[in-house]
Amino acid sequence: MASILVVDDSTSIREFLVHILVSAGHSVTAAANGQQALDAFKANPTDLVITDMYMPERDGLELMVSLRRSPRPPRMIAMSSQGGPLNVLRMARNLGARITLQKPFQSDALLSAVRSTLAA
Amino acid sequence: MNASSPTATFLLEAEDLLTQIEDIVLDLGKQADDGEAIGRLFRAFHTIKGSGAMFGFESVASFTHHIENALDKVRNGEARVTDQLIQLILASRDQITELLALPQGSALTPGAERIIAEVRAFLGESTESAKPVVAASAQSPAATAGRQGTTWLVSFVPPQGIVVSGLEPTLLLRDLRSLGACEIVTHLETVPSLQEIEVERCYLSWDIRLTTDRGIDAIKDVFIFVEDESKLSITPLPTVATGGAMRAAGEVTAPGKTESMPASDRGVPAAEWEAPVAAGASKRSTAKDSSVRVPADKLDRLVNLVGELVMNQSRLAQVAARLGDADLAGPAEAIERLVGELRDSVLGIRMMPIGTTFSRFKRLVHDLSKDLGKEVDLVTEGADTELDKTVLDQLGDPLVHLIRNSLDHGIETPERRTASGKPAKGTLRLTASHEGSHVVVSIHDDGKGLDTDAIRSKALEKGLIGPDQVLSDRETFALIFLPGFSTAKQVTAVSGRGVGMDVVKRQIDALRGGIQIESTRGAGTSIHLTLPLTLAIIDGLLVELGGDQFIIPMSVVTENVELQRSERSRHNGRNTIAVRGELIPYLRLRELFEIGGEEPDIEKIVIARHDGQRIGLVVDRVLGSHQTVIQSLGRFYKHIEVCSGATIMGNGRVALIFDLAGLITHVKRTPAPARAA
Repeated sequence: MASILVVDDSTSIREFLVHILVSAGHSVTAAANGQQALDAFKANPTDLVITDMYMPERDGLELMVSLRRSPRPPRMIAMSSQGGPLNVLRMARNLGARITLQKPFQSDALLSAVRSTLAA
Repeated sequence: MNASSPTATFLLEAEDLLTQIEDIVLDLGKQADDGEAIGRLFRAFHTIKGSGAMFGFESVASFTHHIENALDKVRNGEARVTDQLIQLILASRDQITELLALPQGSALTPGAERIIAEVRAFLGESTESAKPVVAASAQSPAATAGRQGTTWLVSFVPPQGIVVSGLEPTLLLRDLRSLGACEIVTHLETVPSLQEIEVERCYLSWDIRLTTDRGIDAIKDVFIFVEDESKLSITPLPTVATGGAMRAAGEVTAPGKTESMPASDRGVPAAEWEAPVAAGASKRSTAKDSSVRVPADKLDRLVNLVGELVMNQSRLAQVAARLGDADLAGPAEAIERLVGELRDSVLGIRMMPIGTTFSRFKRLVHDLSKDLGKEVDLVTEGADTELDKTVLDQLGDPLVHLIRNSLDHGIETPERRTASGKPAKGTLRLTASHEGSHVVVSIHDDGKGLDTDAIRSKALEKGLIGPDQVLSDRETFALIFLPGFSTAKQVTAVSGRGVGMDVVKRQIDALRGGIQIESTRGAGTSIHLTLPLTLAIIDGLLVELGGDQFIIPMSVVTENVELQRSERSRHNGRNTIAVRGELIPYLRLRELFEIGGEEPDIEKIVIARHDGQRIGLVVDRVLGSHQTVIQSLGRFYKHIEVCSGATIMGNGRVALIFDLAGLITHVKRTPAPARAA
């Protein structure tokens, strides 16, 4: 099973995702914003990063840009609810997110996204 | 966090966000064009929408979507913050609270529908009234932008480090091309000669004429990661101006599917459509240049350089004084003044308001009080007090620990509080203020206060004090900073295990700060952290001992007195001196450091303050005050506790900087007979 870093400024979503992923047998760490995530990733690189887009400190796109510079870039899944000025999920794909998830999504969608991202 | 359902967590979180929203909106009322605040507001609503949808609050999500739209418009300068908008946001906020109270899956309430209609109406109106905002940057055509294809002039000068930062400028250009027909001019003027080229730098810049039916946002989108560092201007061109000069000397590169435009023959004169470029650019720069993000290590380098400059300036001043040449004295003084200003400005860059650190604790207090079943109000004061960033960064952990302690052990449960005649809701007060060259950060709770008896018996049990030792309250409180001390009868998840106040003390010591505790049984505890404004430079008192120079940090010095040889023998063995009736113990540094030679007839005692007590340090001579750039001693000398660092003097010699706390610890540890030589 894979090591996964979950990034979302929403505590509820974070806990929800961690719960689902841990139940599926992954080893999961969580961060509340892009900066925390980056710090966590530097200390402990993971196979996969699942990140929200709009966050304080460093947002999801900034996080992805930075992660790509890592000597061991992780695979990435971006998630966001619709709306906002920019089509962030499209930008996330440009930045290398293999799969983007539009909130709300079901836990099955998350797990299959994780499976296919890791298998790719 | 307890293992509650995600829905319950979401409700807590939404409550928190709604409080934030209220705070931000109320501030917004005072200062309407705060882009950062709008961004935060947008994020807060966006999170409510996203999380709401995840956990089945569709009505909340669909309702929030409308207000988020409105904020988005404000963010893009398409609408303005008006009183009406503020009212609408506040009303929406209250509406969301109501919607959250309904069971999941409920439909929108009539109240919500009404607000949505009002938001829509507001946006409808404001597209008219807000026109000046957009038009200001674009003279006229912006309003029609995005209808039937507008031509934009995009001038893009990337930072030279763009490639290193992981972005490929050609990819940006490819993205632009995907928006519509492009004509791209590459500027090569700034490319240096081959020898000077650094391969990782980007010396190119571009002018792009883009015709697209997408709005300006789509174009900005492309540059979102580089716009802060780049010079970027996006200006609409009058549709007739299909030709004309882009910036002159350039090479047209037309790769891929570029559709070249008709040549300049029927274009308007260049000046006519270049004018708005300049206007747009200058407007942009005033908005953007208000702050610049700089990597911290660049700043550190700057501070180090200024430190060396300060040292060399003082050497220069000494030489100038020695030569006594009037021609040299003038410029030397001018340089002294300039270097002083430079030093203050550079150190000023590193100063950050403590408010950002404080605001992190709102949530902590909220979460913890919920977990502990307590009711606590967090009050912060002096959020704009500025501290060196390095100090701020290292202050977070100790503060978290102290706040946890206050909530866990200090503030009582509501029942207890009511029983003892206090308001059910406790207050945690977090304050910061300047005191001379220090900042005092205080954590005050109105809880039950420290239990001196409990501390005492615990210390006895641990063998930290003897059974008949008499301790003042202050000395008793100081016991809790000893390693391994913890009064909590049980280890709770909140205060954690193992790490105690000794860790906090160590962290504060490392910042060259101090901790004082005041506590009244039943009424509360205050913990004051005294912190230096900056770590890079200190004011010191330069003293001499056996021909060597040392520095005592000025912040601990209270006064100097003389010690006559006769007095010395009179006090023989006791090492105390009476200063205005108070008996002060002193340390003979000559003995401590085993410095040979004859001491002068009259020695000086520098009286310093440590942990609320006064202590004298006997030196040969006091030379005066000296501003000192601290250099660390390096790894090999890390174990030397009596010195916190060293500095290079004007004459090139090294002076060690005493660490008073370290000196005292050292003396306490060294057995008395060894010192009595």
